[in-house]
Amino acid sequence: MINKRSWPHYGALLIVGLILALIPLATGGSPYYLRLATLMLVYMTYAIAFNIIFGHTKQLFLCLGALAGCSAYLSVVLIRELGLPPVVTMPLGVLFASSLGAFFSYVSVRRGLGGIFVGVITIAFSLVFYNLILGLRVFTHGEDGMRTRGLGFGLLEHVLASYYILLAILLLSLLLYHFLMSSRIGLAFRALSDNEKIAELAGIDVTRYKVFAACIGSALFGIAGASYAQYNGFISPAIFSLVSVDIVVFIMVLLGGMGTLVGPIIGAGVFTIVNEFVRPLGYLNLLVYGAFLVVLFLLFREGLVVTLGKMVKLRIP
Amino acid sequence: MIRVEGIDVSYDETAVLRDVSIQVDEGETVAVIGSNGSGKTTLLKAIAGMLRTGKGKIFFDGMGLDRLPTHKIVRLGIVYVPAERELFPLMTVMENLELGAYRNKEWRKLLDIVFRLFPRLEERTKQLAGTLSGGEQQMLAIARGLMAKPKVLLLDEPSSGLAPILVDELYRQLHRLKEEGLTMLLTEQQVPIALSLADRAYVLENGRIRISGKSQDLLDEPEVRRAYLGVA
Amino acid sequence: MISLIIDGIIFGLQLSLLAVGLTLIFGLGGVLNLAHGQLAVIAGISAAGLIGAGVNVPLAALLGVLIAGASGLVLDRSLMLMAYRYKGEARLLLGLVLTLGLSLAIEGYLNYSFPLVALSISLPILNVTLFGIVVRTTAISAALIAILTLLSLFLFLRGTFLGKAIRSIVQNEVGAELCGIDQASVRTLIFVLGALMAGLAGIAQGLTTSLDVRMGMELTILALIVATVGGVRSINGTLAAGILLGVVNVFASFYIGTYLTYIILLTTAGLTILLRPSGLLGYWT
Repeated sequence: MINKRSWPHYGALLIVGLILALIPLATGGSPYYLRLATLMLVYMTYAIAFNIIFGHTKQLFLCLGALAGCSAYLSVVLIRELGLPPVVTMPLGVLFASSLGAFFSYVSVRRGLGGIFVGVITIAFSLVFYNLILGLRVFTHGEDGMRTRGLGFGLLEHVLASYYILLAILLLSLLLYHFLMSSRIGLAFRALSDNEKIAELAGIDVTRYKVFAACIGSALFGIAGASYAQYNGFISPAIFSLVSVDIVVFIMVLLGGMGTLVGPIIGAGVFTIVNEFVRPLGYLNLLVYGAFLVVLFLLFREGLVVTLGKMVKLRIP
Repeated sequence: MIRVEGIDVSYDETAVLRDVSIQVDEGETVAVIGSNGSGKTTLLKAIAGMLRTGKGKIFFDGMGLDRLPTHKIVRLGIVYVPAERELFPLMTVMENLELGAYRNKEWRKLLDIVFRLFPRLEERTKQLAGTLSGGEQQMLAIARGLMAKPKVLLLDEPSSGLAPILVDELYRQLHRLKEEGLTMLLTEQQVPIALSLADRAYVLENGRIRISGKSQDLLDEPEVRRAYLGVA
Repeated sequence: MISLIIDGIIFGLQLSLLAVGLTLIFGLGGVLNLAHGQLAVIAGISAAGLIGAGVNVPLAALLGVLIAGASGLVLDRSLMLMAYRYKGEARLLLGLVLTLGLSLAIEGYLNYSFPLVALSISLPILNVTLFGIVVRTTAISAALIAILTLLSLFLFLRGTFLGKAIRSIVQNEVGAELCGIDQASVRTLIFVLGALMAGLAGIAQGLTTSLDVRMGMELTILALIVATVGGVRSINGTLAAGILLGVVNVFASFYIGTYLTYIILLTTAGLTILLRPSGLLGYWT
């Protein structure tokens, strides 16, 4: 797997890693900007996962925030109620998220109802998640959210250490993505996202690959979600909502470039900055998000990576 | 009535028709024959507005058909009956016929004509189109086309999928239509029966017109005899 | 118990009203309109605004519905045109994303501009006793709206020529084109009909409980669930699904509590889909 063709990829990874590692210095000690940068890392991880699920296998999951939330809440609640250590509960959370994701994917592919079914079932689940958190108020404190300090993952409570831990998770996700896509699995993804019927005829088990993509992607969302819970010190349903996560991540990946290695990273980086201007608008931010979604999907689907690549005449991975 | 001038039609990058020109005058029955893949269906679809032509023009009564959507072309009087029939499977025979007559005020009169030609359809007016036999479906497809009061009827391989005895019966009705003065353009793989109905014919091969002429003359053409009639 | 069932049926009828609009748009246009719920909200908010401005209730309601219909018209003739250029899965995905974006935009704008507006209609007579059971007049009105609309739709599709044309396009787009049917016009008609139905559902919601600005996405999701269970191309199926899920919803709310109801709803929906994937009653009839 380490051959000449991979060098641009490793090069890109190195550059990305370096830039991101240096960001805490650029924030000049401002806690606000460091927090923002850390959040950005989480969203970058989300974006990579979304890229796998939607960018490569065309499954429009609209419950990814909910899945991250399930992992987060489950891992936290288990610590609180059962006294289990985070090293046990976090993997459980991730397992839960990835199983759900795989389940949704499996049911949709099996039933052959096509792209809409995944969208419907997942958007419905996002609603279920929200109501579940509210309904299980006893455990989850409902809408008000929960403090998640002192739960045992001490390192993630230290501001600078958290940044680098989350950066490590991000870089590992990127590596995972790279290895996946340069393997036979990636080839299968390309084939089935082109034309499922023909891929099936060529002997590719479409079901298996789609479910696998959903499983891995959901697991990444679970990892990011559970880690975020420990780091942030506070979780609430709003943090994992459709708008906060799914829509924003969709926009990020569209902006950066679907199906590419660094597209999601770039998209997440750029949009984090854009979002800083959009957030103070209150509810109007939804309008901006919606406009972004429509415009990007219609006019700019190839994303920054391809456009920039054309300008500098380089193929950015 | 219909004049096709030098059209090119391609699917993606592959050229299917190259510089094809044909003409159908009022009252004529013209056949386009050729083997599978020669482009016969493509030609009809181009006239019906279902495919875009790269080059060349198609005229109907002197009016260019460029870029007109299919439903407008139908309303002009060019009715296309595809080989796949494209019926409405969950609707009754009667409903299919009604829909064929979409805007037609005289559809009851047309219904009489249609039932005279295809009495079997009259017996099955309440039957769902999807449950009809192959032959009946073909009849229904043509009947539905007739309900649109066509000035020209485009028939794509009307004999396809039919047993020989049904083909004979179908062509008997087509002869009757011809006698009533309907202009028809049809494609066929079965050359003898097509030439028996048509006044003139074009032979399409690999997307180009190879020969054309009166049916009788074509039957005597050695090329045609060898390639399509299996006669040495 | 009986009153629960009645409540369930009434709620179910409202759900059906909302979902059938969605089914129509999907069956004909091949797009899943994620902005459907927002159309209901537009109707409700417009009506509320008009009532606030002194317009009498029935007129305000009617105008609200018409505004929703007009919004549907604008939507179909602008944004949706992009989606209609494609076919099949590509159209579906594009339509999904476009309407999702639009739904967000509408929700953002409405919540920003009219944050506290809600539609809540009350009638002069509060209750009515039918066969010994006390029912709220608002609930009856909502049910009547739903029943009349669905009935009219049914008669339209079965009896009129245009209705048949619509059914034909669903069964075979190519065939319909060959019969001279202008699909684009019919599609627009259906979209507007769907939007009007969404508007009526919004008014009905304002009658039974209340409709506020934030309910758009939730209504859309409910409609999606009902439409999927009923079979996204079957109006009869959607109607049946709506009533079934309405009853389930009311019972679950009563015995378990509102929040966990959604899980029950989704589980029921999931089970039905697993058992009968093409929908409760199969195809359009």
